[in-house]
Amino acid sequence: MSLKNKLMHEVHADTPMKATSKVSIVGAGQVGMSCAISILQQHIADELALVDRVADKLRGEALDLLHGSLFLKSKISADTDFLVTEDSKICIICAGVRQAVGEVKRRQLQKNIAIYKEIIPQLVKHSPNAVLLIVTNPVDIMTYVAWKLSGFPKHRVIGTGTDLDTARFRFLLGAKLRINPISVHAYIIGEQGDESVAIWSSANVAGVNLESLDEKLANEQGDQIHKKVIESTHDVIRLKGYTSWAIGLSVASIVNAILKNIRSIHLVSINAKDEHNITNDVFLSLPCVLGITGVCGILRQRLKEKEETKLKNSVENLLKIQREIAL
Amino acid sequence: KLITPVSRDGSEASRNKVTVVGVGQVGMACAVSILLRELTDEMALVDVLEDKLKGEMMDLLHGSLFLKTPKILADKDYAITANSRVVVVTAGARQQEGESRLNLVQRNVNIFKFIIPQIVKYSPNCTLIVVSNPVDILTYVTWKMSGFPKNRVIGSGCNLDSARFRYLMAEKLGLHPSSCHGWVLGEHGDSSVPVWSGVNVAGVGLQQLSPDIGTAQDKENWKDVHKMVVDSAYEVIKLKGYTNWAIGLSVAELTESIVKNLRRIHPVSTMVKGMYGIEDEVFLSLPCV
Repeated sequence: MSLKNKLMHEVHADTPMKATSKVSIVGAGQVGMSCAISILQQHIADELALVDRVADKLRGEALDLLHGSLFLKSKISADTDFLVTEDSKICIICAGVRQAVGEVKRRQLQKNIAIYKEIIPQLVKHSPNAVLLIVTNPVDIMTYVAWKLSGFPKHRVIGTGTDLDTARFRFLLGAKLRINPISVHAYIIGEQGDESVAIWSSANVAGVNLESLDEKLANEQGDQIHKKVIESTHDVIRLKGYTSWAIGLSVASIVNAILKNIRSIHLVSINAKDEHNITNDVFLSLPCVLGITGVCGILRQRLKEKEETKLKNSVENLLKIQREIAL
Repeated sequence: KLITPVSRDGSEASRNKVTVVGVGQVGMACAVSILLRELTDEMALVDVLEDKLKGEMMDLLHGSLFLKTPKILADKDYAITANSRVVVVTAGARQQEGESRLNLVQRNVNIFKFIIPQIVKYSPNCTLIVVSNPVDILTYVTWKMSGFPKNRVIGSGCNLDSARFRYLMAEKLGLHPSSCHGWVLGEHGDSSVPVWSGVNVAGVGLQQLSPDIGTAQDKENWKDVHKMVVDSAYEVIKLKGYTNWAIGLSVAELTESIVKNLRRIHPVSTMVKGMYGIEDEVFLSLPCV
């Protein structure tokens, strides 16, 4: 009789059970692993699967997490074979190449699209009902690519978009007002990156509109703060080589909202057709209600004229790039 | 214009400040684990690489919306570490592939000669958790250099080895590690000791069920479990270059016990003179409250 049998009287055979809130992460780099540790430590998912092309690195990361199992409450698996992602509720895609020094953005985009052409069909095959959460940059375009390649309905394909930009915005505003970011409500929407749009008209603390209180804040100072948000990624990359912790936390909060059907509002990149007079399939960030089905609703904001114009320019820009992509 | 001040905004002293020295992979894993467990109201990061340090601090600050630690600071000047409750020391050279932890001694002692006096100067009442390897020796060195009483200098020691042991034991038995009890003690490294007599599930000793356990005669080869624990770090380093997540989680658990005065028991590196007939001042891991 084995030790295990001597120790325990089996009441019911251990039948393999389908996970109820499984999350898969594709790409075990700094961003992917930061998402993993944020999700694991907050006990958000009951099962986590990691996939990557580089087998050694993947196994090393998985082992490192497994060694911490005592402190965690989730099942952890990893493989280069996408079968490990089976039955995921959410598939997070962090895979992709960073922009090489001197490389034209288009080259990077083409490489990432090629990578997605391998990844997306595999994820769809093993988790046909999952929500896809795209992190790879440029996030709006890559979310469009994921949507096209997957054939998923638009409420199940989202990108991290300006969720982190908004978090950084609230942090900077909060630091200026000496109030915790949680109590500062302000949104950055649109195309993630240099052309994002800071919505000052609705920025408020406890319902007190900041713009009406201090015009300077909404204009010159506001522009500076927004500029700082845009430069944030570049600043952190310049100092430590990459960004990881903040994006990991942002992703975890999005995953949590979906898995627990919280119906909280997050700035994610979605198919914005029919919002703000947009008539094409284009992906950019708007305030969305997130729940178990993915995007449950899009918040209708009344924008000022210059905000609408900026958004319109982004749409044209993104459409231009979308047309040039061979999918 | 927005706020009517009610109380003077004096800089209230933080109550559970935690400092992490060294913002490499291990230091940052410890920092993130501590932040995610909401253990502290203030965190300070120190390192000699100023750009890397600032970048890491900014990356954490950008996540402030999702955390409950309102103050996160970083500087190469130890003044920002003042009044820490706990200081985690991860600074120093790390093992290369195939290198033993003991090889790192002299390099890391030299680094500690600079670091420890600085920490002591600004936080004379803190508890020090030493993580850098070889942890038992460096904890001894830290104890000597700091002049702290022995209860305030601990090494992360075998807390991680025991966690790894319990994970492997759990895999073998089909249980969760938290229900598998096993202690790996002594040196955090190649000569650690698995205490087979104490290995149990719900108080049922495995050695009673299988007296050969841990020996070469054991048909189920439980000895391998300990061997895998010893090899763990080398294996992960070979695969990904370093280890960080597991040690980060382990250190966060120790920090939690200290900050919340939980009186949990952990196998950590402590001064063991006077126990088990040991007459010298030496640090190694025993179950500590």
